[in-house]
Amino acid sequence: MNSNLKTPEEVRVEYKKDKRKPMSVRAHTKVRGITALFAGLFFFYMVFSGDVLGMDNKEDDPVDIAVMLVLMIGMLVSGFIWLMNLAAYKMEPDDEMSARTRDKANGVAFFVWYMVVIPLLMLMELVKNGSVSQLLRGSFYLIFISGLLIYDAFRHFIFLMLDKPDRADEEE
Amino acid sequence: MPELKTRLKELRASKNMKQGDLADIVGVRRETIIRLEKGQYNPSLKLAMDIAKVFGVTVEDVFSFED
Repeated sequence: MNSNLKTPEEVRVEYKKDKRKPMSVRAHTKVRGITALFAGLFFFYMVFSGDVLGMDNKEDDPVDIAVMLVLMIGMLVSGFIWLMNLAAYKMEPDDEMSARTRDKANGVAFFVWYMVVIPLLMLMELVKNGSVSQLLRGSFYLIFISGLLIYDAFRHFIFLMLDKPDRADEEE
Repeated sequence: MPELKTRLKELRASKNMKQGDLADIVGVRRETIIRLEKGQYNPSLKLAMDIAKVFGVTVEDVFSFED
């Protein structure tokens, strides 16, 4: 058994001892979700855009370059903010309710993601026979990475939706 | 389905304690205490016992189920 694994109680004790400013579960979930979304869309767009890196020696499409730039800058900026937050703040750990909500969000995200992807692939195959295998042969790793990242973003956003506080939830 | 009833808010008020204070003591988020007070979340046995211990009462004094 890995001795580095800590119980939720130990994690909470360490969190309390930490002198840095706290960052709530919702806040750091939001930053992680946004970073994953930008990164996922960046890799996804790389599959379907023209070859912006210029390896095919064809002229680049300005729209492709603009979209790629926006996604890349978004990914870098949100990733940078995430890393800076990691250094400057102490991240509030999940408690039992948020851990349960997170499990639920992971399941819902998995279901939603597959409900989107599978019909899409079936539709592609219907439109053009063999198009899915052709796509996977050419860009399997990019599709795989973007799929994982978009799923990651989904599960964070679904967590935020399920964990949404009521308007009346003010400190009493 | 039985509905979760709780005297948490009342007990907390009697000790002049804020939601955040109770959350800190039992090691959960304030949002969890809010949901518990509204009866929207069924706590684990450990959390229920920890909360009861804070107020020096039994779990049944804090939480109950009504049909």
